[in-house]
Amino acid sequence: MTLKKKLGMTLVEVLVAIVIGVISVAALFYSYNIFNKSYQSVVDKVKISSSSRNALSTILKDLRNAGYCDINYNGSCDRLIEKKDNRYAEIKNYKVNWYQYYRGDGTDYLALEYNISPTERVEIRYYLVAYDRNNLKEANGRSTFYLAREEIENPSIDYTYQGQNYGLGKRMNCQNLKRQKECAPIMITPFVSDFQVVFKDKKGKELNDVCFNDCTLQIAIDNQKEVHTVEIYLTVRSPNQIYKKDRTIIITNHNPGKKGFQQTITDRYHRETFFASTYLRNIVLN
Amino acid sequence: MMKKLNSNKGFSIIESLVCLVIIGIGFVAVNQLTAVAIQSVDRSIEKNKVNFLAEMIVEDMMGNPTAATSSGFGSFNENCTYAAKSGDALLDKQHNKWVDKLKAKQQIKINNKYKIPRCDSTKDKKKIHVINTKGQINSNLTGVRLNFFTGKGKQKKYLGVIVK
Repeated sequence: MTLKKKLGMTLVEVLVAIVIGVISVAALFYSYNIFNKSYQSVVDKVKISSSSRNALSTILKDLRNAGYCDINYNGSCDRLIEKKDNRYAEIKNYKVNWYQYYRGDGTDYLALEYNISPTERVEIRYYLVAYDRNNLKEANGRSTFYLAREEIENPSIDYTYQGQNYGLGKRMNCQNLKRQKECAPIMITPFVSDFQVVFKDKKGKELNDVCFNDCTLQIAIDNQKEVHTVEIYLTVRSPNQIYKKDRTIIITNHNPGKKGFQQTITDRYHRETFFASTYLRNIVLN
Repeated sequence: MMKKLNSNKGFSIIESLVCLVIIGIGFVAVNQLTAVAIQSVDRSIEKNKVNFLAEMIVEDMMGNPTAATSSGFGSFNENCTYAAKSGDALLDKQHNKWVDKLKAKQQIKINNKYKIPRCDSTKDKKKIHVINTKGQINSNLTGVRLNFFTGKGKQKKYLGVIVK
């Protein structure tokens, strides 16, 4: 008889059980959201870290080689290193389609040359390129840029392929070597907010753009040999918005008010600035 | 036999509530894990930056080999309270540059505040020592050690050897 009495649950018990169940499901849902968001921000921060590490290592490797002239090279070794500050990068002889994509509102342009063999000399160029040509300023996350690395073989010699002349230098990394004009530079870091290059001489004094318009003039050649140390600032943005609220970010890489470029951005992205500096052993020994 | 069975049937509501509270505490602990994950990624980014800064110091020393003396790089032993050197020599400029860069000065401002690494106690500082091959500070000046502390971590990093 007692058995029968205790069988089953009362309505109140069932209701309480349902409420407890719902609360625990809600807790699960809430923690799923938290996990998801933090996973996203961890992934984004790792992406910032790894892409800028790769980029800086590549840039440093190029800078250490900059100016190297092979003893058996027949061509001219006059061009060593060059940068352009706060202005559009001007690429001689190449005003091609993607020219309009350059970011020219204050970020820098770096170019350098070195020999990779007794017969081959390469020119490497770094600059920011916009994903969208209609937005050439980074404001409130509307426009984004990537850091491009362009490699040109024998930049002072005409490139001729199957009897046809394609102008000075052979652009590497093209899908088709005949299509030199459409050869877009390759991306080495996505979502870059700022790229600054600083040249210093052997006394630690900052140098201006060493080449101006013509790197082959004697004064430009002398100027280039003054460059002793190069400093690089790279500010990289996270691919996704990871903050709940807008934050005001002022990027003041390299002495605000002097040669640097200050920009103010309000958005929900995470940003990190990486700094690297190297000594130009191949130029200093010249 | 029958009586015993009856009294032990199922959980009471109190028991289930206590169980729920315990599970809840577990959840809170697991949520804390995410904060730890983000913190360790931040630390890893900072270590990544310090690697490049260490490279900067070695490169600067290679570019200024005559300063590898006790009054040169050997005099560098700075901490949080650092006053910029006013001299015009390359060595003074390099000192200022290293301290500025190790403190990430004037790079990125978030909500009107510079993102400067914490430097409020002896544990949080980034410090450069010039050491000899035995690891003794400030004697024969054949190597450089950079101590950097981020958060609770402690890392001693050997930068390399300067050959005069």
